Amino acid sequence: MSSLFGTMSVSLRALLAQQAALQTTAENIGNVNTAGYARRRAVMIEDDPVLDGRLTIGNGVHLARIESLRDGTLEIRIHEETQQQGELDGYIGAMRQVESLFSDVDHGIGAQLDKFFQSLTRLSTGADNIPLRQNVVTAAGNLASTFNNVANRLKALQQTLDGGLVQAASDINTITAQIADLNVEVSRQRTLGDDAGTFEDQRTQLIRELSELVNVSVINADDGVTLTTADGAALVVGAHAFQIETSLQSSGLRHVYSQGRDITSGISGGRMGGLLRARDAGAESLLSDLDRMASGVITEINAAHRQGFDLNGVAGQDLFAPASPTDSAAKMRLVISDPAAIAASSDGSVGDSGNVSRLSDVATAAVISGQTPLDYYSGMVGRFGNDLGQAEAEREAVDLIMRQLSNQRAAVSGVSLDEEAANLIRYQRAFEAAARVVSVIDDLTQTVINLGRN
Amino acid sequence: MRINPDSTADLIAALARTQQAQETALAQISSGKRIVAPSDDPAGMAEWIRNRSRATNNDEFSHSIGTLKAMFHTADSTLNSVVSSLERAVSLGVRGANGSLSVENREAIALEVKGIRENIVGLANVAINGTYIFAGTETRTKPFVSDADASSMVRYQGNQGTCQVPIGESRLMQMNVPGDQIFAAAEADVFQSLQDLITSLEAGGADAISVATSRVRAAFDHVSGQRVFYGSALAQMASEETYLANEKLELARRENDIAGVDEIEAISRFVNAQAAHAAALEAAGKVSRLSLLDYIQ
Repeated sequence: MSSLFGTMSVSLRALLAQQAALQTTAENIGNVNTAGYARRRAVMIEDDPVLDGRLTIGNGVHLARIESLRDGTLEIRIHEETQQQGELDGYIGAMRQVESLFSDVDHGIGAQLDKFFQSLTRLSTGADNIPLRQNVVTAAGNLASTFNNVANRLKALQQTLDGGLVQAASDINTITAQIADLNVEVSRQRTLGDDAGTFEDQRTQLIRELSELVNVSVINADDGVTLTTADGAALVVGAHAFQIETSLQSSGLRHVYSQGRDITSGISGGRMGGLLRARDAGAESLLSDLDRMASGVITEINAAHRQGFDLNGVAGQDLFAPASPTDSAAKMRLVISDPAAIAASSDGSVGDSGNVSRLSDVATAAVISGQTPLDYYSGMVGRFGNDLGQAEAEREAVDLIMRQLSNQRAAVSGVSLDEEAANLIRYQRAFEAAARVVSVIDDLTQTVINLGRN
Repeated sequence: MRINPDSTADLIAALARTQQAQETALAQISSGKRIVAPSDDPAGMAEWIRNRSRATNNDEFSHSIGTLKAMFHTADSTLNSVVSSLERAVSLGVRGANGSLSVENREAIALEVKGIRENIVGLANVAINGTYIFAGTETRTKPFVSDADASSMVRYQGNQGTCQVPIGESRLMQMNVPGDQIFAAAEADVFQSLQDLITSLEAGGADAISVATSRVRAAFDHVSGQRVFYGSALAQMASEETYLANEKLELARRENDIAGVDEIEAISRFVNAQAAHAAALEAAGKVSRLSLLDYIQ
């Protein structure tokens, strides 16, 4: 049976529901610029009706829940693309730092190689000429020091990237610890039947930040999300976060460990993946190309040089220190400093330049992986440019995808101030109307109370 | 369908894009280069390096030709003087063969021939910056020295070595002619024939003097013939120089094709990017100004 007080309580619940909706709107407006925030919506449902004889009378409204509007699959796609974006950013940023070493056609290794062979050609116009011999010594020294310089810059980059790796590992540990804490909060809220939207938003945002750092697999489980690296090393399981650490190897570079296991090879995404790719693929392959080239040039030039005779008729010695089995570019060194010791002559006579042409022939001989030194170098620069150019093209594509995904995400989850403004009016009016009903019931109650007075 | 209510990210991305396009165009215009780094055009960069190497070689070949030309001019003009001296010796020999000459006259002629010989020894020892050019590859050893034990009274101390200088891709130029080939050839030995002339002049006897004179003439012919080497070498180098100059132009043109920027295209790209940037800015200003909150009271 319906009563005045029953109607009063319907209005009161309506007031409460509209007020909660207003609060949701206020929260949405407040978080309009909060990263990772998904807009909330107050979900109201009709209360169970009361039966009055054969009549069914509505019993008002109550606030069922406040839900966050989020598209889970979209979030996963965003995490994936974020990992790739982080990887490309890390790689490109690192390789950009050394690109200038290969950009200068006037002073790079190619130019120094040209100048060395140029000095030999010039020596052939006067094999007994000390200034021309000095030119050869100077050009050979410049070639060696340019190799040293470029190789050392690449090694320095590797060390810098190692530092970045340590920083990334510490950032990852901070984030995984926070995610584990949030897992606890979310499941507690769920157990209590409360909305965990706030914590879920924060956790989603943290997973996104984690994705910028490293590639992770996200598994949603009952006790919160489980995060693992690509090869299955656990980062977060329920309430527990597992720290990763970096450890210096005998190579002088760091590897990444999780619970004592080397997980370096499984890290292919995020900034950490990019840093590792720049260090172990980018810089390393440039270094090994340079080493192969330096070693080839040293060996061939030395072999040719030893076939000749110097200005004093003495058999030629090594021009460069023998190629070191490792780091031959960084360790390339000229051992002859006396211009008279250049073995230009093939028969011991001072004016003969027969051995100069033998040395010059190295320029056109297929001595490094079946290529001339300069062709090998230009090929190596081309490959480097290609890798970097491709990474940049990929990043442009990923950026575009990310913008689209972010747009899609914002279309679902983003706060629209216009929409909130409209809602504000809507809930305000509803609140006012419910309050009006209360006041009407109050009047009616007065009337009822005054019924017997006169 | 609900759309993304916040267009800020898109606007910022659009502004970054147009700004990047402006900066790229500006960098290209100011450097004059289309390729600033390998990733701009990997294949172009590789070709640029190879092209630059050929240009360096081209410059060096030209430089070698310049050096050789100076050397060959010196050698040729030296041999020209030698030939003139031998010509004078021949005419002295013809005069000495005249039977009516007195002993004193013949001795005076012999003395003059000795002077010619000394002169030719001096010429044969010509050096450029301390490098003897008629010493084979013993370029630091004076090639011709007086030697009383030698039948020609002059001994050759050089060797038979020759040097090759690259003056083009797989084009070699012989740099020197060994002194003995010029001055001490069999049947045309300059110093032997002059010594024979001196001896015969001092001994007298018109026939012997005539025979000796004909030997000097043979030496004269031989040295004149050796000059042909320098003449033809200079001609070859002149044509090589023309080729190198054309190649240099071609390589410079190629470098510009590979790495140079098309200024007009780059400027128009810059102007377009600037216009796009201005438009994006304008849109950004308009969009953020509209809000429902302004219309409700």
